[in-house]
Parts: sequence; C-alpha cells; structure tokens
Amino acid sequence: MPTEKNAAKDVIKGQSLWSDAWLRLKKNHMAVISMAVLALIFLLCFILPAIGNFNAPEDPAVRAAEHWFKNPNYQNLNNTFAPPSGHHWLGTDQSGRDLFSRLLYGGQISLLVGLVATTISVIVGVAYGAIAGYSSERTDSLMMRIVDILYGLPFLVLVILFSLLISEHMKELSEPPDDVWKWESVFVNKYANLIPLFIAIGALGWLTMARVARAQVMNIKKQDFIEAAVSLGLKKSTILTRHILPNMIGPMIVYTTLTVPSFILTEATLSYLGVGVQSPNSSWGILLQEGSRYMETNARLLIVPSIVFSLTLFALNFLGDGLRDALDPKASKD
Amino acid sequence: MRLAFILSPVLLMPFLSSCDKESPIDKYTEKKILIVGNSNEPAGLDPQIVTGVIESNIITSLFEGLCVQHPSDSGGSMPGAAARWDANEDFTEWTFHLQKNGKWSDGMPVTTADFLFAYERILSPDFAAKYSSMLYYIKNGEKFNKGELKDFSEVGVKAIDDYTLKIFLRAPIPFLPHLTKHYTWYPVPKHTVLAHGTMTERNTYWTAPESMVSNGPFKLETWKFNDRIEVIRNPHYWDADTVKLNAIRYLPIGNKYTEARMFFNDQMHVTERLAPEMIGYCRDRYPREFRQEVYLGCDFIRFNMTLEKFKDVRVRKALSLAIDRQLIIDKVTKGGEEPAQGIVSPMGEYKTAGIAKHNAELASQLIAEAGYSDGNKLKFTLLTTDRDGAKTYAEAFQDMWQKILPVEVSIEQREWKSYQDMMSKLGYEMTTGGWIGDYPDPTTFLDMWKKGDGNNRTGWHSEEYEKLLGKAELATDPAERIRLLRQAETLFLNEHPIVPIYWHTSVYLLHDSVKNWHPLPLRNQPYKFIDLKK
Repeated sequence: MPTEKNAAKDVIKGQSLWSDAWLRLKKNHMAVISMAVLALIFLLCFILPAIGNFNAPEDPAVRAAEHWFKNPNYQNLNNTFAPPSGHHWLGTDQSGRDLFSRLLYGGQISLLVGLVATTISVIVGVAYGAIAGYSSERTDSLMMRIVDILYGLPFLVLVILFSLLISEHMKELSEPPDDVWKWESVFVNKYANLIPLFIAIGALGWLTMARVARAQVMNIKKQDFIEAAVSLGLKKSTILTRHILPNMIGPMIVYTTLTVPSFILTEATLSYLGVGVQSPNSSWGILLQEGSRYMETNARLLIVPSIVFSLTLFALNFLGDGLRDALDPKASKD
Repeated sequence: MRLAFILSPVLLMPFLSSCDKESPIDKYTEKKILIVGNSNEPAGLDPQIVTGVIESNIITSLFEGLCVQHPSDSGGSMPGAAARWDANEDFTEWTFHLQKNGKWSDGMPVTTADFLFAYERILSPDFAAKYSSMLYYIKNGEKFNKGELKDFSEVGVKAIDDYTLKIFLRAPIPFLPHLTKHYTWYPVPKHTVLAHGTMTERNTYWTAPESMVSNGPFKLETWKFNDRIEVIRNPHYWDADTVKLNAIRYLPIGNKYTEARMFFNDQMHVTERLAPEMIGYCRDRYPREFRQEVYLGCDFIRFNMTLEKFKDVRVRKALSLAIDRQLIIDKVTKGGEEPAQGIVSPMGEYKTAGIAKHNAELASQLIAEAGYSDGNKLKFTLLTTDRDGAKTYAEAFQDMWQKILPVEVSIEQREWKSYQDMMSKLGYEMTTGGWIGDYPDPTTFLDMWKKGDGNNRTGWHSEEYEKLLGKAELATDPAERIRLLRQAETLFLNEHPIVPIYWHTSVYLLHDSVKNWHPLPLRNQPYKFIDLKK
C-alpha cells in the first residue's frame, strides 16, 4: 500500500496519468475486491480445468471414479442428484454429471462470450462512432440515423436470426481438415458452434458503443489542441488516430467493463431460449435454465450457478464503477 | 420502479389469498366448472382437419361420434349419436340407428346426412385431410380419397333413412365402435359448414365461437388465443340430464412446471402431464392427487432411412442394442414406463414380438462389422424438440451411444412446429418421437408404417409388410389375425427403422373433487359423466 510519503516521492519522479488512475483505483475497496474476485473466477475457469485435464486418466469411466477433476459431459445415470461430497465437490446434476466441472467449463464459455463479443463491439463501435463524430454534419447525421434504425429493431430477435444465418455457413467450417495445426483444430472443435454467437452478439451490440464514442469525439474535437493540429495542416486521419482516439481511451475502457456483463447476460438469455451453446456443453445460462426446473426438488442446481453468476456480474459492475471514478474523476463528481 | 410495479401483484398474492377463505378451485368446483391443463394452443377445432391429442381433448367434449367411450371400461362403448347398432356375422356390414332426439347445439336434428357429409368431406382428395386413412376401412374409402373413384355414392356409407346409417367395410372390423369414438369419425353440422364456405374449404369461420355448432354434451363458448378455451353445457344435447358439469375450461399451458405450480396453488383440476423432475416430488407430496396410469403409446427414435449412413441394418441395430432402456426409465423419464421391446403396446391378446433389447457387446461388434472404428467414427445428429426434459432425454442417448460405440452425436433442438416439419420432410438424421394409439387394436401402431402414410416419416416401406397387414385384415379367425400382425411387427422390428424406447404411462395430477374420472389407456375420459364434488 502506498503511503502519503511514497506518493509524494512519486510526484517528484513525475507521474503518468495511468499510475495516477491506478492509485485512485486502489483506494476504492469495492473495486479491489472485485478485481480479486474476477481474477479468482478467471483462474478457476481457465487454469483449473487445464490442471485437472493434465495427467487425468484417459478412460472417462476411470476418470469419473478416481480423478478429482471430472469430464463435464460424462454422465452417470446411476448417480443423479448426488449431494456435494469429497468426490463431487458440488454434487451431480440430473444426468449424474459433476456440477463443479460443468460450472467451470460453463464459465469458460460465458466469460469468452463476454470478452470476444465485447472486443468485436468495441472495435466496430469505436471506429463507427469516431468516424461519424469527426465527419461532416451530413455524414454524421446519416450514420447516426442508421444506428437509430438499428436501435429500433429487437436485439434478441436479430441476434437469433443472425447467429442462425452464420451457423448455416459455419457448418462447412466445423469439420477442419487434418493438416491444420493442432491449436486451431482444438479451438475450432471446442468453440466452433459458439463463433456465430460471438459474432452475432458483437456485431449487433456495438450501437451504444458507437454513440458513446461519437459523443467523446464531438467533445474532444472542439478542444484547443485539436485546433492546433488542424492549423498545423495534419491529415484528418492522422488527427483522428493520433490525437482523438488516445484521449477517448479512458471513458471507453469504463464503458467496456460495463458491456461485458450485459453480453454475458445476453448469452444466458439466448441459452435459456435454446439458441446458443450446443448440448451437452454447458454455459452459465444453460446451468441456470436447467437448474430452474429443480427449484422445488434440488434447489442446489439453481443456487450454485446463480451465486457464481451474480458474483461475476457484481464484480464487473463494481470494477466498471471504480474505473470510471479513477479514469474520469470529473464525471464521478456529478 | 418498474420492477416494483411488476412484483407488486406477486408480493401481494399470499395476502390476497389469505383474506379469501375459499381457494379458487373450491369456487370452480361449486360452480361445476372443470379446469383442465391442455398443454398448448390447439391447431384448430375442426374434427376433420386436426391430428393432435391437444385438439382431441377439446373436440371430444364438443362433438359426439356414433359411440361414446364407457367411463371406466376401456373396451366398452356406450350409445352416442347412435342409440344402438348391429353388425352382420363377419363384421363387414354395420347398421347404426341414430338418436331420434339427437340435436345440434342450435336445435337442428342430427341426421344421417350430417354423417355422410362429414365422411365425404374428410375423404375428399381436395380437402387433403391428414388423418383420412382412419376411414380407409370403409369400402372404397381409400380409392375415393386417392382420386381413383369420383362418385361418393360408391363409397360404403349409405343413409337408409334420416336416422339409419349403414356402413360397409372393406374387411371384417370387429372394433368399428372404437373407431367411431375417434374424432375423424365425428359428424359435422352440414348446414353450418356450408353456411361458412364450401364442403372442401379448409379453415373457414364455422369453428369460431360465435358460429360453431356441435352435437356433443358441450358447446363452444369462448376461445381466447393463448389464454383459454371454454365450453359450456349444450342444452339441446340428447342426454343433457347425464351431464353434470356446467363448463370446462382448457388452459394452454406449455410449461409443465408452471402447470404443476398452478395445481399446487389450487388453480386447476387436472394437469396434462408431469415433467420427469416433478414426478418423485408429487408422488411424495400429493399421494392422493398423483396418477400414474398405463397410456397406450410408444416412444421411439426414428432413422431417416433415405440416408446413406443408415442403409446398413447392422448400424441401426447396434444403435438400438446400445440403449439401456430400463436405466432411461428409472433415471430420466421416471414415469414407471415399461421398456419397449416392440412398437405395439401390450394390449389384450396381442404379445409384442420383442426384438429391441440391450446388449452392449453385440452392439459394438455389429458396428465394427459395419466398418466403423475410433478412427472412422459414425457422425450423426439427433433431432429433438424444445419441450421440457427433451434435452436431458436426448443427452442420455448421446452419452450411451458415445460410451460404447464409435459414434459422434450432436443434438439439435427445434421448436415443435419446425420439428414436425423436419420430420415430415425427412430433413433429419435421427429423431426422437412417439405415437399414441387411436383405438385399442395393434393396427393403430402398425398401419402408420405403410408407404406414403403421413405419419411414417422414416422413408421405410416394405411390400411384404403391407401384404401381411392386408392378409391380417381379411383374416376371419382372431388368432390367425394376431399371428399375422405379429409376423408383420417382427418383420418391421428386424429392419430397425426405429428404435423403440418405452411404452408410455400417463402421469398427472387429478384433484380430489373430480368424480367419475377412471384410468383409461387412451386417456379419452368422456366428459359427460364427469362430476365435481367437494
């Protein structure tokens, strides 16, 4: 923890905006706790299965009986609804599958959807918004009216249609040729049916991002240093990439952290509706959907995924709030 | 703010109901209104167009065939639109004497003209009724339906006078009274149908609540889409004194959990069925209301026989042998069903051929012989619906197959209509499905596998199979007939165009106040005898 003394020393050294923000963020307890929670969830979801799969017995039956980390899709119909035990840390589900490993693999998918779709929407949204904001008034209003029209269409319906459309084309891709290098074939096999979902959510989720980006550009372009750049005779594209975009980063990062949970929720909704992750794979949305059937009989199947899911969403939201306060101190005073 | 607004009625509910000493169900019981869970919005209410169980539940209260199901004896038939009937010695000629005071709900008499009109309508090729094969037993019925015969007077239905109907059959059918209880054999009001369109015009407004006229114990009162269908007592019904209920309300509730929760909250008399996950819970908590009865039906998996990958019978047999049916029943469906060894549900004299069994070793041996191994896996997609529990059911097969056989199975879930559509067009590879019998005879499960039958949906057909069925139909000795039918079933099962899984049970909740509701294997309880008492 930095003390006042240390901070004073840092000032002498000269302090970047980033380390300034970092200091402010560290003072926000909720944000720090959120970061720790997120880091823990990420580690659990991505590292633990890798460790668990390493050295696991090859025979799934032997593995299910002996190894601590189970195959999430391995059924044992003779052991359904088993309560939590040393063997099944969170018990088993309606098909006798290990809930703990399903939760972690489901987390991989939910977190990936959140991250990949957000990345796509940030790239598209920021580019679109920045261009609109820096173009002539006519181009700007034309581009933004297109956004308005897309806003008027029902998001979920569009995502469903779009992902079905893409997945028709993806069918040829899903059987990779033998000579592709290992990593790619593993990736394609594991997440092939998710790629349409990623693309669909990202490709239709950039609208708000574009509006935020445009507002930022409009704000920045009226400032003095831009006028200076213009009077120096720089090209429009140079001004946009060199001077405007770097100054937008703060607010965009904040907005991005708030977008991730909304995309995870979208995936959950889509899986709940039966579009999305393919059987027998799990995602948090699927676990919640299946768990909701056992409200009366085996509430554990609903409660456990709900806790993990809510925890992640809370953490992301608190982190986003904290980042906003840290990166944009003016905004937080409103 | 908005959330609070949405939640407020939910939060207030316990207080509201505690103010009220009478539960909703008691009120309805007192008013003699039966509340029935009916799964989904019906596709229609025209007895000659619809094909489903959902529609059948409503239509049997509105219309009445020549005979009516006995309330407790599944093999018994009671007078319906016909007061009495007799057959000649070999059951090929039947005479039905209609009720002299039989009336439509608008007061017009029910006469033989209405029956002739209904049968001509369903058999007309222009009308394209999907279920017309139910009337192929009538002499020349099939020919007329296929357009080979233009003149309906050559079809074996004759009106001797306004109240005497003679039916000539193509073969001896001792179970004809059972057929007449099925909605395809119901009369329709000639005067009303013609007032709203021509005979062969589909989906006219004659089935709308303001215009529908029916001859059953009840008549249509309201039809609110996705809300309810209500039928009320028909004052012109010939046997109105027997009818106890004042009204029946059908609720289209697709979600089985919602339906069960409505029952727990005293909002319903009868549920449609219980989701597997609820069965154990309801058996313990509601022992008096819990019903588990034999239901004449079979669940199976269809192969698309037109596909190259399923051409080899060893592959199909291996996939059938790999399934542990008892385990599926105990752990997935949980309704106390019986593992199906064949397609025909056990009934009367008929014992099924018993081909479908569980044998993992033989299964892997057969698929290896067919040329598949871990390096060369058989890949296919299993189509299923998006209904509750369908996914867990399909995943159980997926896992069983992948554990013992070199196969790679993916699951595709489709919404009900698109699932039906894919099946009809043979746009699937393998699909889960089932069949509920229409009448208590093995042919209700065997006729559908004929070439071109709308319910076949596998692309499988066999001339020899149809020959055997034809022979069985003409057989006069019942024992000989059963032997031939069994032979046909054996032939069918040995070809493995389907994988039988289990024979159905009907598992549902029935409120204490419902009287005269007896278990029937077709679950076609006649509403006219049902009563409500606290």
